[in-house]
Amino acid sequence: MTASDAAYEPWRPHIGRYIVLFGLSAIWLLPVVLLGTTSLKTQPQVYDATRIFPWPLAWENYKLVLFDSFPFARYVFNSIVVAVASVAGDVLSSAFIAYGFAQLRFPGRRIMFLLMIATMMFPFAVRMIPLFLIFKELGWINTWYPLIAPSFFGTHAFFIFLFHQFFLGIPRSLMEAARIDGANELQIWWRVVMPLSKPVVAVVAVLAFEQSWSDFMSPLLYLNDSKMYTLPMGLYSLISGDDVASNWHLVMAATVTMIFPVVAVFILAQRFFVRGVTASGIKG
Amino acid sequence: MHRPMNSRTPRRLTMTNRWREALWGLFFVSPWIFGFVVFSAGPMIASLYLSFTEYNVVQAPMWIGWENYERLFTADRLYIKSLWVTLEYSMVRVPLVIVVGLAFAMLINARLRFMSVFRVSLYLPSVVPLVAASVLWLWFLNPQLGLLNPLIRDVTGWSPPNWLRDPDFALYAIVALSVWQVGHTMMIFLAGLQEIPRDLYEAAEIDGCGPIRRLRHVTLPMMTPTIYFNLIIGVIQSFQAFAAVFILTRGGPANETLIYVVYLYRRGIEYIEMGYASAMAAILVLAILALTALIMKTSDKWVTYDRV
Amino acid sequence: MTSNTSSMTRRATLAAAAALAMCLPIAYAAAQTTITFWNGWDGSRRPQLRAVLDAFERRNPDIKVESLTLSSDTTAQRFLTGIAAGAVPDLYMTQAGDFSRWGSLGAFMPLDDLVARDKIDLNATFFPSSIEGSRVNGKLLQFPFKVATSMLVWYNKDLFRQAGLDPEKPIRTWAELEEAAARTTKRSGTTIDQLGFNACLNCSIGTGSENPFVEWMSRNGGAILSPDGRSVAFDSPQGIDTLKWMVAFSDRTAGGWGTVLRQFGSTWKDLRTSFYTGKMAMIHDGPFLYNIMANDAPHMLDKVGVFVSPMNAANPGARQRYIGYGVPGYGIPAKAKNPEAAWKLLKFIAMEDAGACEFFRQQKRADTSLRNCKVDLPPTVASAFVQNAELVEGHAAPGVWSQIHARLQQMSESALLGQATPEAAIKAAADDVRRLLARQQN
Repeated sequence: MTASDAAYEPWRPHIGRYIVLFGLSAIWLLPVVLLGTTSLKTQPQVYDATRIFPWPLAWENYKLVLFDSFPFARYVFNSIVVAVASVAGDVLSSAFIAYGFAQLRFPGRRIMFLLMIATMMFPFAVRMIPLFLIFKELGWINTWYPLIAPSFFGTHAFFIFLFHQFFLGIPRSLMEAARIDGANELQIWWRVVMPLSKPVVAVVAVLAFEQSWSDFMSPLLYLNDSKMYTLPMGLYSLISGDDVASNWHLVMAATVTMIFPVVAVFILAQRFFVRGVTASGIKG
Repeated sequence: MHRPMNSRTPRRLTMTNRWREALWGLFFVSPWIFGFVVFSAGPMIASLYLSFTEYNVVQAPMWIGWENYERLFTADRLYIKSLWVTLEYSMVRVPLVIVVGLAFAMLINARLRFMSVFRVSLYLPSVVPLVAASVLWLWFLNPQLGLLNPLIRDVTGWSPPNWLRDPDFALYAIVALSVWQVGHTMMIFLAGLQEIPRDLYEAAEIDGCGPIRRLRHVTLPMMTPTIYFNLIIGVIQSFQAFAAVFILTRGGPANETLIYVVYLYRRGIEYIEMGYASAMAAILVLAILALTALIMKTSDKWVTYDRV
Repeated sequence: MTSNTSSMTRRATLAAAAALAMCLPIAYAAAQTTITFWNGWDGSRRPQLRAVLDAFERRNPDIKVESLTLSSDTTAQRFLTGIAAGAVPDLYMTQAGDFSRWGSLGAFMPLDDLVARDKIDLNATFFPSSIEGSRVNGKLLQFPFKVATSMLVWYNKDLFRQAGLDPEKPIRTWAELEEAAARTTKRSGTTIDQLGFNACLNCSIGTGSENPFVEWMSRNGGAILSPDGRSVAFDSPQGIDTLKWMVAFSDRTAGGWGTVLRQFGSTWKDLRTSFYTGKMAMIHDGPFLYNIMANDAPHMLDKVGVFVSPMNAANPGARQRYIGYGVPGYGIPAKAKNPEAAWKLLKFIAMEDAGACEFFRQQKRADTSLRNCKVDLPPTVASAFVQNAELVEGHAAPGVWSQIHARLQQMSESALLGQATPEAAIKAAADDVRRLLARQQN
């Protein structure tokens, strides 16, 4: 019996805990709240730091950022396209590859598995220059292919690892039964194993989305044309000009635009999250 | 039409089954093999080769042997500085994130009302993408336009420094950003805490253990695998840190935040010394491997996988 | 029946006209070349540039210009990516430092043949120092768009008046500057409530090619490199003296540069914010600050005055001058896809009145590289700007100039923060720069 089964305890003896948590939560959320309020200030109000709540609320900042001053709506679109493609690639390839490692025996399996874990230790910085040259040869510079293609080939070992741990926990009898019924491994993977893996799929999808959405180094290296930028580069280009000193309200509005989808996805997927992390036996 | 296996099944069939399984296995793993060769191993080998050359992209690479490595350790003061900065950053950030993450997880690991509200509040900042969080931090810590310094001044009367521009504090301001985003780590610890069987705690209570002894003898030992996991991930991440530093300080002030990958980027991309940067990259891999191996080796001394 | 016929004829005519109208743009578009122009004109200058480019497009209907704005942070890397990928722009705006680096690597197309072909008299059009700064190994690789510019000292007249200084009297010497800074600095304990002057802009985290050490050194009778640009000249008594003065200036007027850095920062953004909010009385900035203030802080325009950076009157060998290394300009990358069209744009944007001169007129800058460009300057800044342009001596920059510039910044920073004595800092920097120059010459 684990801790999550029983109903709520009475709260009075834990008042100290509540006070501490309340204080911490307030501190932790303060920057985010300020982000929102600053995004609704007008330019002269930006200079007045101590004025926390602007009035009236300058909703037009969002319109300015998205459509007028900076083409932020375009960056949002670009990020969505890249993220959706990456998530599809990550989920499919990680689950596919993990099945091979977890359920099938083949020569070199142990070495390859170790190598795969080891790739988590290979910094991107090491591969960045030659990868750049490879993509240049392929003609992929200034396209989204360098941002998406690696996801389809299991370059994110962590996701493979999550699926792997989860697959280890699936009873072999299920798969044996399917084999006896004449199914080949591909069908077993798709029809038996994957439907059972919904929690892990959710976790990987959410993590992969966050990773693609936040990826800064790849767009920095591979994208020249600002029309192709995803949100991290778009946001960076806002603050790297010399005229930012007075435009913080717009920068904050842009930041909120970047944060909002990720937060939404996480809140929606929250139900799966703890269960998925536990289910994949990650701590062990 | 599938014949069940028994002791009278000819060996030939067993071999075929093993073959089939191996082929299927390789089939499933083939995308990874391709990706590993093209996106991981290949580039790393190429990077190793480039580290022995001088390469400015416009002209072909020119072989210079060990010269890059010599220059790094004998003629580059900033390189040594970047090593120290990276070490200091890791040694402050990793323990801090683990301690805070575990502490927060223990705080919210209670079947009380509203715990989920607190959990979301503490977790939310880690969902903010790092680039966005860095931009937010840049504003928040601005002494004239951000709110942190006026707030500190009003509450404590003490005049706080210009965090990101003060050589003494800039690195810690960047570590603070990681601590603010401790949510991911906290959730992993929370999952670990919830796996600890209740009967262990009950047994400890029966034995008369107070909360502190319960912590020392039940919680912490059971959490060592999770701590171990977070330790390794934390070290690997710290050595590769780039985006936050690039956006917040670009390595200054007085090079006090010149973290390894930022300096690598500067030499490789800004000064166009790609051979030199590749040498730096090779050393980075070695450092990470060495440190990880060290942690793994010493792990049997303190990580317990069995029930206590 | 008649109505049907006539309506049919009408419809037919309309259809024919529509078809013709649709064909025309297509035929038109087929003859059009689109060229890409990478530049760093951001903020308020972006629409001003667009207006100039539109004027060019009207004059050359067969060319369309796509302008990509780069920030100074990422411009070096973008160009590198472009060269490596074979995706260079047709026209590229250089900064003083990266021009010499790329130029020495052969990344730009030499323009001498085109200049001769179109019979352009360089000396009559441009100031010679800017042309010299645009050559690498004797070959002209770009057209400069400005002369090497010195920074000016902008000041807040209200704060001067409050401190008992006459806002109409320009400051000419280091001693006068120090007095003005001391009088306009207000401190309570270790907190600086109002700062007079930060003697070292960009000395900590900074981008951009302005270098205060070079500025002050020029006005102390010293130089960074030898005239041929191949050996170190800043480890002279004047160099040590200059660095010592920078340190002492901050010590005497504000309680140390470290304090200034911690409370005010030293990047463009940090210092300009302080200047706009009245927390800093003077700022070391370029002529382009006028245009930037007009956009970001229009309330300042009536309040500011400006004078050229002061010189060291205590040194009899010092003159009011600025030795600039390298000039920014526009160049055609060697592998550009449309060099002919780019050449047309280059001529317009670097030499023509409606192009180059108009652009600088709108920004109210007096540092254009064109001899015959008269810019109407607001009376408050006119005399200072003109004087500033006349005191410049331009030199070509060595290929490693951007690394030398970074090294000088580090040197200034370490001396200003007390991490090294000025003598030690200069010696260390001189050794490093000698090494840089030696590697370059191999």
